[in-house]
Amino acid sequence: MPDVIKRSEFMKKYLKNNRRLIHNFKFVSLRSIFYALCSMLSAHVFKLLALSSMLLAFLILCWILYPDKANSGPYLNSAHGNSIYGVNRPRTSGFGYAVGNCVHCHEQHASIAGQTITPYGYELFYDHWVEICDLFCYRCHNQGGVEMQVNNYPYSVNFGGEPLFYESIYKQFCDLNSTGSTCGSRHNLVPIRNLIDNNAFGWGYPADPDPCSACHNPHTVQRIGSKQYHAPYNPDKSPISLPSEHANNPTNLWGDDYQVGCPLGKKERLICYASSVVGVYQSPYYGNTTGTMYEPSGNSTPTDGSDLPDYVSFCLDCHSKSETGTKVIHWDTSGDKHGGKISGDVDCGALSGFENGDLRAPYNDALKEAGNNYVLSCTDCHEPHGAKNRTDLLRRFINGEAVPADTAPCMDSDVNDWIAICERCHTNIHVSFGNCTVCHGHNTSIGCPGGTTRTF
Amino acid sequence: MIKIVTKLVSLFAICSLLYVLPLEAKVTGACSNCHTMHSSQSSAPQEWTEKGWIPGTANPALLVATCIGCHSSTTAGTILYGNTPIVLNTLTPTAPLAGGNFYFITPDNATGHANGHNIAGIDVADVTLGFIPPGGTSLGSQLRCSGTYGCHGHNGRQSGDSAVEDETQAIKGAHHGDDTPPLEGSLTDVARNYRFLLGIKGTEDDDWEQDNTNTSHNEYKGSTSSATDTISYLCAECHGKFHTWVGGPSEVGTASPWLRHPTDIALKLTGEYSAYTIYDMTAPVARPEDNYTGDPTNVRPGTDILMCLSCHRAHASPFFKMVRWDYKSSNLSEALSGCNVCHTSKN
Repeated sequence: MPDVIKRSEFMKKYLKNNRRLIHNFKFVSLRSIFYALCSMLSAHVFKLLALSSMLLAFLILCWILYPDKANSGPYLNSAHGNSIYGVNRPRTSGFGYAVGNCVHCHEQHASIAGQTITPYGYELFYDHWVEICDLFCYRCHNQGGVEMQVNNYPYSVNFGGEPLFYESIYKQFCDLNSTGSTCGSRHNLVPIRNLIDNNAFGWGYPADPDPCSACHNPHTVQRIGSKQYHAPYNPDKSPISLPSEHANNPTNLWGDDYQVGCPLGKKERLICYASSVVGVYQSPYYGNTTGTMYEPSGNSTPTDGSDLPDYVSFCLDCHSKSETGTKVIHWDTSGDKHGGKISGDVDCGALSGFENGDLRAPYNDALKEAGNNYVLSCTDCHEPHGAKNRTDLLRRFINGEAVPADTAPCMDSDVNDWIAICERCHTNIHVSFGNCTVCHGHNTSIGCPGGTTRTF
Repeated sequence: MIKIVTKLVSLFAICSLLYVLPLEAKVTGACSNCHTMHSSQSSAPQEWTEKGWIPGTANPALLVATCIGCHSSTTAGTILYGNTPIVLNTLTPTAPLAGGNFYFITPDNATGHANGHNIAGIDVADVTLGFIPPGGTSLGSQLRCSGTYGCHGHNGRQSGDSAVEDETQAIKGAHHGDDTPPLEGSLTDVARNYRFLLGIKGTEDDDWEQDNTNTSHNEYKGSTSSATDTISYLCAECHGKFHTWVGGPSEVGTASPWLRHPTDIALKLTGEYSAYTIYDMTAPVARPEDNYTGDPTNVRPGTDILMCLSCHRAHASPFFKMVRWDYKSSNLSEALSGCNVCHTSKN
């Protein structure tokens, strides 16, 4: 009996009255204690079970709704690997392969069910490079594509608010209006290939590379667009990859990693480049000049480049190399004044008196007056792929305004064609020295006592 | 004490039955398990098939059955009759062996005609391909298990081998031969080859991967040269254009960018491939060693080798083109799951 009393004390001490299953402690036994403890435990277990069941149901629902996200990596998060709008070739979709499947681009044996095709490099269904206007990517990135008809508008349309034109990548590169005969221009794919081939600079590209892959990793490239096309603009997606990271950081997209303060690994936006050269970035107007919409999103904010990939670093990856005739651009503090070079008025003693183009909105603001140095993005003025009737890949829509087509003689020898560009951001355009290129251009300086001054 | 000893002896006996017998590869047991003197035990000649004993015809070598007859079952089991590997079940096999299972191409699984090799006696000739193996030239007849038109035994496709048309004659003696590893890939003694595949080396798993675990599995022979003793070369005997060394520069290429997916090349040591270090049964690799005895769970980028069986089953699988995983799945994660074993950054 003393033993029983001990157990009763235990019950009194550890069990709440409302949980007691045994009220007559005279009959308490080890078994009854066990039952009582089980009762307590089961009350909590039930709650835990209910909670975990709800969580499990939620996860299952997510898995049903977004099956591909359950284990998605760089490819499944890419535009090509998207299960809705990813790659989908008629021949291979005819065999039942899902949208986004590798087989839509790569045929591992160049043969499916006895239907053979010519095998091409990378196991692609077509040659990755024949010539500028005949290459693998155009089989789909072409408004009249043989396999798919994917529309990708020019940068100035997607991120500048320009009305629709040049609906495909193919057209931007290969339309007659992108050729020199019409004062047009296009990013020349031949020197791009030549610049990167054979593991040049240790970047890891093969011989005979796909020129598109210099800027775009087809397995990671993401769809991004502006309000007009793929709203909403999402700066955390990016279609570009740094050429210099092709081998050593191949899955990294350029422009998607950003954090305020631009810490290491999170400084892929233009705001970070601008601050690295002690300057600031101001987004150009988007669509019009009312001041309510800014590039690249078409939103009113941000305007500091925190939503824009660092296109300067991106472009300079190649445009800091002089090989294969690549135009070298100097954009740091000792380079062009549109870049990190302080863009103060030209004042060089005996040569003073040069006229200066004043700034237009949104650049004529307090930041400028406070002495901040604006650092432009290459894409503020240039198209990445092709420019319709404009040389030097110049956009047809800058700072919210249209730029007229270039006319013969093409731009470099026609002051009016230049003015049409410059006055998108400047007033008081001067012509007293003749053609603009006499003094202005990338890497152009004028001699001043004690040094030179960049004029562009 | 006696009881304890008795129990220990019993336990040992049970263990012997469970674990020792399966290690015995050479056929053992009563002759009548496989042979019949007159094929006339009943009123008419009888034959053992996947349907059991049925009226049939006398078989060569006094056998009670053809290849298919013995290596098939009406159950879902895949190692039966002592230690016979079953490659054709009439029920969905619970644990298909390494080569896969012809169940997936049979009329019992009507959607799977393109899921495997269409062996005569199991299926009609491939309705799309006829007698032409993809990447090769016409066999001139429907594919069989062995012989001139088959994979096992003397098919005449190794240099120095002469084809034997009869399926039984083509593997004559193999079931009674000594197949103790290491198997040297003999052209004269079929038993001295991996799975009686003439000229091919490799090491068989005790249960032919029935347990599907990376701690014990077949070790396939691969090579980064034009060796003819690899499992992929066996495939290339018919599908030559798909093999790096048989297809050559014009069909597969010699380096990246490859024209077709290479086989019998080393898994690259660099980039995304370097992350494949744990042997994955979804997309296994071959070994360059004749008789690999290292850790079966290891994969050595830069050393181990891509093979046809990295992606395909030899016999048939539940999936289109006998891929080891459902490459046609509508769920992209699943469809790419096998690719991602090597292409680790393409998930």
